[in-house]
Amino acid sequence: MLLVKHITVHYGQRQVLTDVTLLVKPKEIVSLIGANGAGKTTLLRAITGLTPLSAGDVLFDDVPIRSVTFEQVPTCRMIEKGIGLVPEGRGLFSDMTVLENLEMGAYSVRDKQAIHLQKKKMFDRFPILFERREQKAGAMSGGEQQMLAIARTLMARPKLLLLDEPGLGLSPLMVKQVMDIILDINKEDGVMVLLVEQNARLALRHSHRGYVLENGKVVLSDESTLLLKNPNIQKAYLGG
Amino acid sequence: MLQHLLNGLTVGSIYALVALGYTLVYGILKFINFAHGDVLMIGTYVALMVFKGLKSFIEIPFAFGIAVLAGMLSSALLGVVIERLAYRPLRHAPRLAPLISAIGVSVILSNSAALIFGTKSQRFDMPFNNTPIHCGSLVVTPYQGLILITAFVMMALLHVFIKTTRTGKAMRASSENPLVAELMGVDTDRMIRFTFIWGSALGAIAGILVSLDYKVYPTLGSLIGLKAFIAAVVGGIGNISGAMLGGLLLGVLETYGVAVLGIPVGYKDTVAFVLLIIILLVRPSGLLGSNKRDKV
Repeated sequence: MLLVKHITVHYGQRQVLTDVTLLVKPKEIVSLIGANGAGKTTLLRAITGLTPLSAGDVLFDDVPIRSVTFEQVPTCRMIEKGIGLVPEGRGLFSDMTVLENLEMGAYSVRDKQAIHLQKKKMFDRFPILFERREQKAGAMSGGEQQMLAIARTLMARPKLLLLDEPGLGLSPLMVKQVMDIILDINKEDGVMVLLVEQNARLALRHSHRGYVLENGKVVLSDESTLLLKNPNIQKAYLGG
Repeated sequence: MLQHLLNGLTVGSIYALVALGYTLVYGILKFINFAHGDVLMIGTYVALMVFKGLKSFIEIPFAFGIAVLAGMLSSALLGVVIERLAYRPLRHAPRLAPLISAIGVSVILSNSAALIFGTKSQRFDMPFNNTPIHCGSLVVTPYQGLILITAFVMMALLHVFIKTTRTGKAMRASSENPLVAELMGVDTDRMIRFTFIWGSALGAIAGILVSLDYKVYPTLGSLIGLKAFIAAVVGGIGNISGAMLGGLLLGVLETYGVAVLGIPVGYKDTVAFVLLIIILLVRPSGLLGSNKRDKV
């Protein structure tokens, strides 16, 4: 369970997040929607420790991981705690092969047998990655790269998957495939998902609950089906 | 012709070893460690002192072996300490700050060496049978052989380390995208330490190898450092194979410049700078560098 409690984040003088509280319960897919610059990516950066907090704290399975007062878990220990982030723009190691990217994903795993099993599982789920395993990651299409980015993070078997705009720059068909995979992962392995998307309709259709972020503040949160029917949301985010 | 190629490769392999130090650090920290030449100079001095202290007690090859190890270790340690004290506090500062800090460290090191070891140059004086070996029309001195073999073995080791080991892959990942590497569980600070250890130790080997044939003095690191820096840029800074290629190429071109084109020996060093200017004009990212445009 991820609990973000009243966090505030500043970039220099500018306040980007104000008193944000958010919860991801076990087995849940939660979407976070909002316009460009609302602070969605910043929230993910704050959870993983890439951006410091100015107030509030973040708890994972009731253990504080980010806080202003306590000793914090460094970013490189987040994956061991079970939190994996698929960054915006995928962040693949493009000079490395597909296989090497997957191996890097399992960097925190010491058990060779477990790595091998997980690799096989990923190749079963993403057959295209098996075909391309010796290719440089940078040479693949956008959709394949997104698959690799997700597979790479799953290599460490995270309990919580943070996804930053997984549909960005992909064709509608590809977006659907990626979303189906996310649903699958959530259903089969019980992985919690926090999905950040600009495409609100897409995100709400594929999640249990949703949060709406406006100018760094949570203005609304509800079941995704209810948010889809909410007239204000329809007007502001779903194109009328 | 072949003889010149061999001589060129010998000089070039020294440049390549030192260039690796620049390129490894640049790859991950994106800054030029201008103190690298002085770090290898200190390692060379340590090796010299250890060798002089031991050679009357134990057999020469053993004494030399221990001296080389001591030199590598002290350079590696020095590299790590400098990173911790002079560069890490400036990691999030503007890019010029660590550069200035590096130049400062360089001045401190070369002046400390002058204070401690004196400004007079010293020699290894190794009783080493250096009679050239004739091999067809080729002439190879045992020193040359030692340099070539050592340099190539070290480069091969580094290559295997970077390509196949878990830590080597993490080093490559960190140099391509340090934040994402952190998210995968890589402790980037540890990787940075590794690059300083490897770079400084390889540099020390290069310093010792050159000094065997020449001498040891406090500014030993500056010219070789500058040449190796050029080699790293020519090969594509940040690219490991590029540093090796750039070093070897520079050595060969220098030798050919003097022997074939008839450039006076005193102007030998201009070859490196001319090569640098040409590369910067024609292919600014270096021979093997990626063509990604860096936002500056």
